[in-house]
Amino acid sequence: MKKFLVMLTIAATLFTFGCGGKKCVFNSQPTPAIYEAAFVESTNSGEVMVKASGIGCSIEQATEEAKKTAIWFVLEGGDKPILKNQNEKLKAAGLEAQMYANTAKYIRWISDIKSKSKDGGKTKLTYLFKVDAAMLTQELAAAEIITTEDELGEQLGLPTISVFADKGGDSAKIAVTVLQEYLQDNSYEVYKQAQSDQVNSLVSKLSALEGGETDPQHDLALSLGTDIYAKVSMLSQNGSVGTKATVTIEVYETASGKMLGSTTGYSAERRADPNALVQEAVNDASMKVLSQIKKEWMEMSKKGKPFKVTVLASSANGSAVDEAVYGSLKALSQRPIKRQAGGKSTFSYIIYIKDVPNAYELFQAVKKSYNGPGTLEKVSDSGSFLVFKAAGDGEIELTIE
Amino acid sequence: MKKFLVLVASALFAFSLFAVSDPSLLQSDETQKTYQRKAVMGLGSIGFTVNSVNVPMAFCHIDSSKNVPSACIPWTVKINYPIGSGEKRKAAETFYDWTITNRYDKIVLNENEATMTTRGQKLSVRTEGKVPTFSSGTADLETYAKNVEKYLNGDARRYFGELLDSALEARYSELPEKEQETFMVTKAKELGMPAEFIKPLLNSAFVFAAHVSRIGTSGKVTSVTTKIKDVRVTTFSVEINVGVSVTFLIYRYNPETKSFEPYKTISASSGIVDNTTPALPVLPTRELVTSLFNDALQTAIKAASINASNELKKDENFTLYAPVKSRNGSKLEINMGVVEDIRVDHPFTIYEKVDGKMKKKGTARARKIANNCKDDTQTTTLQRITGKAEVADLIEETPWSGLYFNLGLANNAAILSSRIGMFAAPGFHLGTSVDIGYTSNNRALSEFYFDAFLSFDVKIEDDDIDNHIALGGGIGLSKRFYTGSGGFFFGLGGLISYNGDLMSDWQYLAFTPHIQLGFTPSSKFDFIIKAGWNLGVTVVENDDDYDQHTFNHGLYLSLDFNFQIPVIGGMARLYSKPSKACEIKKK
Repeated sequence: MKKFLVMLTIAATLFTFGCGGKKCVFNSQPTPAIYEAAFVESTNSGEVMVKASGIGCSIEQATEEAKKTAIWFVLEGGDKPILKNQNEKLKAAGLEAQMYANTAKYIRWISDIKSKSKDGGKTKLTYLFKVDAAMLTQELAAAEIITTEDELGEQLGLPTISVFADKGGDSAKIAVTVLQEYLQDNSYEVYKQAQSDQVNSLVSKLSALEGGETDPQHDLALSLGTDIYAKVSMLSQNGSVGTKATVTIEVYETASGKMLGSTTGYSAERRADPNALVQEAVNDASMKVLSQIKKEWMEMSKKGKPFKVTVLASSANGSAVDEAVYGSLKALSQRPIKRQAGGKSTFSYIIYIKDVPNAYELFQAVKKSYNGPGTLEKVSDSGSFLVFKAAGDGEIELTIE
Repeated sequence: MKKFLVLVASALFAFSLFAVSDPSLLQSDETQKTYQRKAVMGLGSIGFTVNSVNVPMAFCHIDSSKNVPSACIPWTVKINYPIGSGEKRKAAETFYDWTITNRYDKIVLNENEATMTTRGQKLSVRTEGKVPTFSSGTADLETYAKNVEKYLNGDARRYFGELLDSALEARYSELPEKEQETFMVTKAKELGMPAEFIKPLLNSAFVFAAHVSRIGTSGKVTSVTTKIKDVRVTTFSVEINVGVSVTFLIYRYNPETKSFEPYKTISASSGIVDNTTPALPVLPTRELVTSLFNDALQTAIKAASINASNELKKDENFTLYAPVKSRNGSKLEINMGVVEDIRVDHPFTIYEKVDGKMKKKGTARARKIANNCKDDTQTTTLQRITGKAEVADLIEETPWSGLYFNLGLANNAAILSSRIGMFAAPGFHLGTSVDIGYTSNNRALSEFYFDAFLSFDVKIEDDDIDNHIALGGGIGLSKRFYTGSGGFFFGLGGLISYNGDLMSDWQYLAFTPHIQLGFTPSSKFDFIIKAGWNLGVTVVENDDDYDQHTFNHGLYLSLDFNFQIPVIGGMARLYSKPSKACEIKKK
């Protein structure tokens, strides 16, 4: 009898676990079951479109999982995650779990199903989502897990920008206006070039002294004293349907002339008012430009703000002044100082200095530590461009008008 | 006129804007693909190999008073029937009605008129001398095809090419309002309009042409002599049989070569269509017989067109796809309807991607067709017949005629009320079975099947070693109720048959109510068990053994096998035209 009961138990067990089929096991973890997602587009400044997949035992479960994957992607995935390092990710673990549990709060739009398949007995679904990245960022910042760009901006101030038409004639000028408006709408301080604005003679002479090919827009940006400048080129092409406008925007750091980014925007190819096509193309590129400026500027804020420093001295004690100023600057900067070409009595440097908001304060700092011949007198400070002279014995060769 | 031409060009070159096959992240994959409208141009006329047809005739005489079988002899003469321009035009209209259905933006260039029907509008204008028209003439298939290509790549392309700019502009400007994911526009722009955007656009332009390659005919004049009260009366009737083969030529615009190129050739067949005059006391007039021939010819063209339309659905460019929007039990909803020319009871196949491969998961049939002429969010309801289905499974249209060849094994017993004992009556029957819900496209007739059959039985008497061989024929009507997911159905029906005993000149009329239990594993095949009771009356009885007007009854049992047939022959008469629910009055 006992033997019979044992066999019966074994048979029942086998039936339960053997014949019952493979049971689908649902992901009980707060984190997504799979991490298949891709960035699609920034739909606006605070919202991103993401294509994300989820896997589950039912359509509903897979959909919920896909939402979690989309939020994960914005938080940790892709090229520009909100949580940028391991430390932030560790700190965010608890809050992330709450976010995954409340996906509806952050998902602004969901598409129809873009793909459906059964893999290993589970349903896998793919959707497009618009995720409120701004809200995720805000909540993470409120929990002091990350530092927001705004906070960084407050520390350093948003950069001043000048925009110049490069190639494309009148269309490029219209594009400049559109881009200026866009930047102003986003709280940037835009220095507009007046009709009468010309490169001041100091900058002209310095450029001539430094030799090489001079970039008139760079010189103009130095004259205006902006931190960053953008060059806008327009191209219109006639196609089989109509005209298509293409705008190329190149963004440079004024102090060093280093390119920060380049973006191309397109209009539709159609028959329309050329100005409308220009506007359409600039709109297409603006978001990307803004993103590049922000990214680079914030990067700069961590490494230090760039300044171009030009020192004027007499040829008699030029090398001594150079040596002393270099020493002062080196004491202020963590990063290597880049020396630019100059004459026997004129020297230019590109330096990156943290915690110094403008050229005037930089001059104060240099003056304080300067121990070379003569005394330092400020000639010009605008934005990130500082010019001073070592006044004393001897004649200063570069006459300032 | 200008507006019309712009719209025509728009339709030809731009209407499948949403078919942009950009493999970008925005697109659905193959598991969620949806049918995209195509622009199709018809040439107005179809080609014929001949201008007239010689019909070989036979003469049959039946003398019922002498009780001898009919005898037919072939005539040496052939009757020549001309195919007039009016008949050719009607044939072209029929062909294009059935092949360029609502699911396409349709442009038909007739001799002096051009019509264009899109989802939203219909325009019709006189075009004398302004739009080049195609004249098919009378030619063999090869010459006809050459003429079509010459026309398309000559006059038509030159003419429509000039309008391309306007068309694309017109369509493109509408994009932002129509496209839900407007972001796609930006992507298309980034990819570069000419290369990535316009190419698939242009790929949607098709041209349908047809050539009647063969017209097979035969005819028969039958005279019947009967004796009524010692007076011999002779009547005459004429029967014409017509069968046509149509070659369906499809051309597609190639944007790279900027020319229309052959895309596909489909051979379609009508099957045999017969048409008979009523019995007349005199020989029918030539006009009546010509009318008979023309009617048979047009029905044959319709049958071939329906066949061509179904063959066309085997091509993924022309068949319908849609993901399941929602599911409630066995009811599935899809975002399609009369605009896509879905007919009542039309079968669909359900697919799902499993471990990387698209696998068939079940079948379904259309029940309530959405009127989505103006509101494209309206959904058509399908009933799942076999297998499983869930949201986002892919539904694909299955080419189907709604017509089956029927083969059955039956016991068709008849017990005479005046006699004791029961006939076992094993036999078989052959016939056709047609879904009249589908053919009439009428929801009220959904899953109603009309049957027509001929039977052969051996009626075995319990107490008599003389077995009776009986022939019969009849019609039937039944209604099916599908249940569950196994393809099983329960049905109720009735048959009316006329049975004749070849041994004893005993004939009876029977009505047979019955129930059905059936199984439909696929849209191509049915298996049905029928059980009923024959209720009949004797109509003719010359055997002394039997009383006049004896009441007949007996068990009816059958096993039926239905095989779907794509060639519908004379049954084409039952098929209603594609839905006109979206028809717009001429502007």
